[in-house]
Amino acid sequence: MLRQKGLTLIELMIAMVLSLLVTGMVIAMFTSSIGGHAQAIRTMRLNQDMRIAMDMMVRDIRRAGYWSGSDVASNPHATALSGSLPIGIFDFGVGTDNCVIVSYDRDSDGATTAEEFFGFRLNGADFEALNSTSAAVSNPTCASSFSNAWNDLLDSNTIQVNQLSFTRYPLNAASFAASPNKAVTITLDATSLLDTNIRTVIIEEVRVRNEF
Amino acid sequence: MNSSNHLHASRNQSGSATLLVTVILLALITLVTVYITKIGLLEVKTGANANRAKEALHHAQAGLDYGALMYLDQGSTFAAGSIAVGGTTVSVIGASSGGQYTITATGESVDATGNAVVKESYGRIPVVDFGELPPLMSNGNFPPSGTFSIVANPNGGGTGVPVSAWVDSGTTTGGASWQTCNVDEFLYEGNNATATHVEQDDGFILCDDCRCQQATNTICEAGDVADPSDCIDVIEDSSIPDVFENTFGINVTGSGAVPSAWSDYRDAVADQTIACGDLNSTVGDQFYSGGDKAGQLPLIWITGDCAIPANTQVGSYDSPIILVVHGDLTMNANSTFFGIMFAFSDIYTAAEDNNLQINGSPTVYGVILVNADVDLPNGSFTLVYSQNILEKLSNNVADDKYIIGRRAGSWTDF
Repeated sequence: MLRQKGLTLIELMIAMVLSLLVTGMVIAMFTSSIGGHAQAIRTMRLNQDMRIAMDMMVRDIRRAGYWSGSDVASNPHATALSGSLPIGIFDFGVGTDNCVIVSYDRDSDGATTAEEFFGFRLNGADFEALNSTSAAVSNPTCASSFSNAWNDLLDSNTIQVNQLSFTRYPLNAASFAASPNKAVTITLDATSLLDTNIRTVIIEEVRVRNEF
Repeated sequence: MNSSNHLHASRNQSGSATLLVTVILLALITLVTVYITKIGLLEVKTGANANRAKEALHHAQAGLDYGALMYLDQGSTFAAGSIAVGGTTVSVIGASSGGQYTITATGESVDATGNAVVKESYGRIPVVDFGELPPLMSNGNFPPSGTFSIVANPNGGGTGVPVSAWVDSGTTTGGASWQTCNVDEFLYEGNNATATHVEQDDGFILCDDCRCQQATNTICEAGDVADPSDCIDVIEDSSIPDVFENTFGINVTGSGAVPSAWSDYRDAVADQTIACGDLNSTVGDQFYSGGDKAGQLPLIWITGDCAIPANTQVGSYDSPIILVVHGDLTMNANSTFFGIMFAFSDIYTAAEDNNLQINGSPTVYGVILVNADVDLPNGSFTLVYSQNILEKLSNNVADDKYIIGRRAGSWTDF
């Protein structure tokens, strides 16, 4: 019969230290994995929200000036904004070129009054959208009052928009008004407030398809 | 034995705690990973959806461009078609309504799950359109003298507003005895009723011996007004557009103009092979159906002086021509001309002032254009406006002489 041997204190401590180390490593892996995942989720959320906002802006700007009526000269949307244009880019608040308003015949009723306005602006750190479809506004700017108020499009608790800007092509405002080929470059720069290290910039260029 | 078992158990338990913690944590990590993967997949899916929507839109846009080309090529006989774009088939439908042609293109993403419909309306416009011309247009004066008749363009100033002449200056500088009248009075009033009328297939009536002077009712006549510009059908307009520019649409005087562009247009479009001596009643036939130059703009450009001899017919009602004479143009007694007669002076790169001289009693069915002064017509010529002749000139032009115009404000994707 063999003599029974117990663990020495040293052995026991080494075993415990090793198991602690292993447990610690696994916990560290777990927390960093959770942290990484959380960051990925925040990045995706920011990207998705920004992509949706950008898509909405691109689509609305592309449609600017559409009218279902028959007489080109009577198109009220073509001249609804400042400078007799279907699209207007304005300064709002302290920013520059941070607001756009377009007009187009959303319900395709061919009405001879422009009463459908869509817009996007940066109000402080809030990204706001306008969907005003029931009242004519003469020569509107981003400070005008519309039939509907401007509403937050992005959650200002989780997303901080650093920059929203609209650049005309041709660059000069008078050339832009005169050009039959108008394009607008949209820059949207935002940070996730859930993790301020996450920041995304999306830039898209869109051509106004309805030429005037 | 018991002691040994106890020892083994103690060792096992120490390892099993680690194992247990590890297994639980790994299980948690697995769950979290599965969760995050699902979110990631959602992100990929929404991103891919956005991409498919863009694919579909651009495919549809390609279809729209294809439809526009087909419309340019075939006119409104093009009703439907399809084009392969990026591995997909875009269906294109065209329909005319209200004087315009609307093309609808339906595009799909490569995997056929995305779909976009875009619409736009177009117009097909001839490169040249002479329908708006008055019988006489001059960047200079109204004829200062002579005994002549002008049959007005009945709708030259809008529906029912006759226009006989559109000139830079309409003041009298010499003795004149002229009348302007409407076509009915020209053909049937007074002695005109007994003159020889030659009816054409489309109902237009030629009458070489009719005169406004013989009619009881004229629109205006020299004896009744101090200056031609006092007539309602003579438009005196100091800002009259350049005649060459207005007729052919080539910018030679406006902003950004290239003054020498008139010669580029001549070289590109006009027939310069026909000499003044070749002008006769059949000279226009070659440009019309069955002719060697069918489908070409019947524009004959003669450089140098040209006199149309007496008793000569140039062009015909069925085959009218546009005659541009870059030099002195003289029309002699009893000659007849069908189409547009343009006395051209190079006032763009030089300071030419060529003469338009009319002797005897010739008849012009169509339009007389002068981009300088009208000189002394000392005969009793007759100028009869004919919308039909001008339409023949425009309509003869083949498909490749059309341009396509988008109707502003008609593009939509909803």
